Amino acid sequence: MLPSELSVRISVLDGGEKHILPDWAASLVWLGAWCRKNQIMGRRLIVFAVLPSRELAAAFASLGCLVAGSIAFEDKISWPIFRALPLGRGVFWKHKSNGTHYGGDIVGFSGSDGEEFIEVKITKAAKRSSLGVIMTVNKRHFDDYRFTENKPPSTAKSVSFDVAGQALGALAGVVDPKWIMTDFAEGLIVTSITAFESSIENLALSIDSGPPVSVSDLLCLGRNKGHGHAKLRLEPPKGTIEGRFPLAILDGGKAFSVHEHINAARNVLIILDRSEHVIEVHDVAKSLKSISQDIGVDFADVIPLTFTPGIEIAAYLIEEL
Amino acid sequence: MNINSSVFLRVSHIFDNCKQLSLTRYHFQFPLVETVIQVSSRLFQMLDRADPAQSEISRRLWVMKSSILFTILPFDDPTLKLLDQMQELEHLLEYLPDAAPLVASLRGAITGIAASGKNLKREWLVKKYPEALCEENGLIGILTGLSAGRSPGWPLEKDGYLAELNSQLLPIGSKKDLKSNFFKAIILPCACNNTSPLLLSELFYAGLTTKLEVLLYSGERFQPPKRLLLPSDGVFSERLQSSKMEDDVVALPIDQATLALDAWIDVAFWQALHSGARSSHDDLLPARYMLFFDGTGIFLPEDGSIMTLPIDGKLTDESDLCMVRIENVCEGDIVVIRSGSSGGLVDKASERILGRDNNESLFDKATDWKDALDALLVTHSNEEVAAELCMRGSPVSAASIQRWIGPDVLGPRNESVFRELIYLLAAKGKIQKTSLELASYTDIRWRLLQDLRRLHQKAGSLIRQDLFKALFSKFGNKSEGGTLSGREVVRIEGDADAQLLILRVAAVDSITAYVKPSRFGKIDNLVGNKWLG
Repeated sequence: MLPSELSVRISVLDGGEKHILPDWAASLVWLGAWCRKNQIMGRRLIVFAVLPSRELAAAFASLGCLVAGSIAFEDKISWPIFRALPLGRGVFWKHKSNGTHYGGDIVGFSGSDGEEFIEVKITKAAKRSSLGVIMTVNKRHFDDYRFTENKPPSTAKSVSFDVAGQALGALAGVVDPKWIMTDFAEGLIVTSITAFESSIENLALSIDSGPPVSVSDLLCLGRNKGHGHAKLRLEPPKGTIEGRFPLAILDGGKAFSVHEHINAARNVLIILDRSEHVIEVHDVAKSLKSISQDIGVDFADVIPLTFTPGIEIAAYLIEEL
Repeated sequence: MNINSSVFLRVSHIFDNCKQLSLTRYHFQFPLVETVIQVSSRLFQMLDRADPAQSEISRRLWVMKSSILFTILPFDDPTLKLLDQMQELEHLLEYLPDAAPLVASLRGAITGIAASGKNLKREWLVKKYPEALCEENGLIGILTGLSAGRSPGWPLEKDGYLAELNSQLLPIGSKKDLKSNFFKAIILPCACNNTSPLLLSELFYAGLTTKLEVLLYSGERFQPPKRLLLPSDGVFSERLQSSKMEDDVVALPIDQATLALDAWIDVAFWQALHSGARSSHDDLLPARYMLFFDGTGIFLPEDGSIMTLPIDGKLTDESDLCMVRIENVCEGDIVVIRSGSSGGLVDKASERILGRDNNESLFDKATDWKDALDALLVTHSNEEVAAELCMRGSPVSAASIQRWIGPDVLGPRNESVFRELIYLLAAKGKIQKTSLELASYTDIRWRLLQDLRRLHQKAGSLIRQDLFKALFSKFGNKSEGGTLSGREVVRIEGDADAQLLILRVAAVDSITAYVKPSRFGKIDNLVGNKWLG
């Protein structure tokens, strides 16, 4: 979806006032989607965006990342993935028919007569009598449960995730309804978390004149260090990064200088304001250009013919080590 | 919602401003001023700046010329003291008989300018922005931070003076004055050859206005600040649009001779303040000099970082205390310095922690590979090492290589880059080990570096907590509503040595100086120094 189309379909509600999505924001939504969508096996896409101001830029780019992630989603929470988890690993599950939530540890896998089973010891349950019970799930009935490694969202959070899922679904077109509740984050945003969260306060989006959804709900955010359910994870620009993501958004010069060589994501979008585009960053971009391959037919999506003045983008495709 | 209360509207306004930005140069014909520019330049070329007396003449020549070019005061305003300046200059130039014809010409021009009193830049300003037309139309910024130290041609108290002309006029002396402000127009009253490049870039490229107006007497040449553009990528570069201003700007030929005095004054100003060497020697380290609003100055290691407070002095939580690279500090920033040390807060706290854990040798062991890198750089340039690492699939900048040798950066942050660096050093014969030993050496060094980083993080976090606590106990609500003064002193509880100075930056020397490590962190009292005006 091109920025011009996004501008028509998305409205911004800022403290009660309604605005069409401006060119700059639409371009960033498009860019975030492009960076998330183009996952090329064995190669990494490193994209720089230099802007007159980077406030809100990571938020709009991550919205694009979510939309592209929702489209790319395939229901892969499957038996083989679960089967590979080590014994003792904590897991969460919900019975689809009655909606009951459980938490427990994997205690074994077994098989007989061509059937395979997973054995989990219940450590968290609504009923005290269920605690300590070892439950056996037949592979054939695995899909009757929704197993996750992360704690599923609380009821209140589930409601906001459902609302976000519907709004994102409206924007993305056909989206598997399981996507929003699947414990897989589409992107990591390395940013000053307080500043990021305060910048999106009071901001809501409406898709195709639908009900407004606050940006913080829409982005389904969670801390990377926490284990709560989230579709985008936030990490401050310090320390080491855990997890693996299709896209990392490095928001600002500090995020770039600390995590220039981030390995936690295949693709990286670096967002800088003009004063942060200093010689060291420029040198890195030049180095990347020197080893960059052609961005050609493998790439999905039509690229806009022009971007609004003020936005500068450069993308480099390099070998994944 | 309005621009001040809405982030969304503010950012949208910034992009709109960038889209519409226009630059207009207004050229004023005033032959007497042109004579001052030309004669100053010729006199300057005659002077031997190595001689202190002639260096002083050069300084006064620049101050007098700048008093005319920088100002929007009438030329007969007593603040400018043009005739007094000329008289003193004449007195100093008596010992240079060859200069007599030029001095006479200069005297004639200065006398004529002072007698006319008419400053065409001021007249333009009064006519273009009369008070009556400007109500509710937004602020008009006028750049007053025209040089390091006090800008010639401007009274100390600028706000009141400008308000008399037009209440919408706001002096821009540093980045602090740009905080949260948008301008209907920003006026540059001269060619800004001595303005901080960072401040000038902010005015041009941060989307603060749609209209930049440069006032120039004939003989003045203005060039917009240069900006780095991303290397073209073959995908997006053809699809990007520059703003209108960037399309309009045409490089004009510059008369280097007329710029020589302006260029010299920048170097001479800093030299007179800090006298640091401008080329490297074995026992000297690269440094940057910072001048503060309270009239003090300090050398800090160029590769280091410094803790800064928000520019408006408002602290809400610990994340407001940011570490900024020394080379990125600019006018108006508020920095926190530990007096008597290298200026770095984290180093000291790390030492405390390292000492506490009886683990003083960790640093030496974790970074012993730096000697091998140092040895490699005797025969290879930074660029060559960067290129070799790039070939090994680890793209890094040449500047990073330089930083890794220094004491302020531990080394590569990325494990694969670190490993490739060690293998490269081994391949070049700078680390001599069998392949098995090398693998184990690399593993251990990486682990030690990570341990050291964790310690630094712990130290950083400790110092931030202590400082935040100390700031709040000292200033209470003051830091919420008001602003910090140019200099504050904070003591950290339980650490008798830790006297922290909170200082607002007046200017930063943009050229690297080389000094002995013992000069780092020593605060120079420059109050009364004639170069500060």
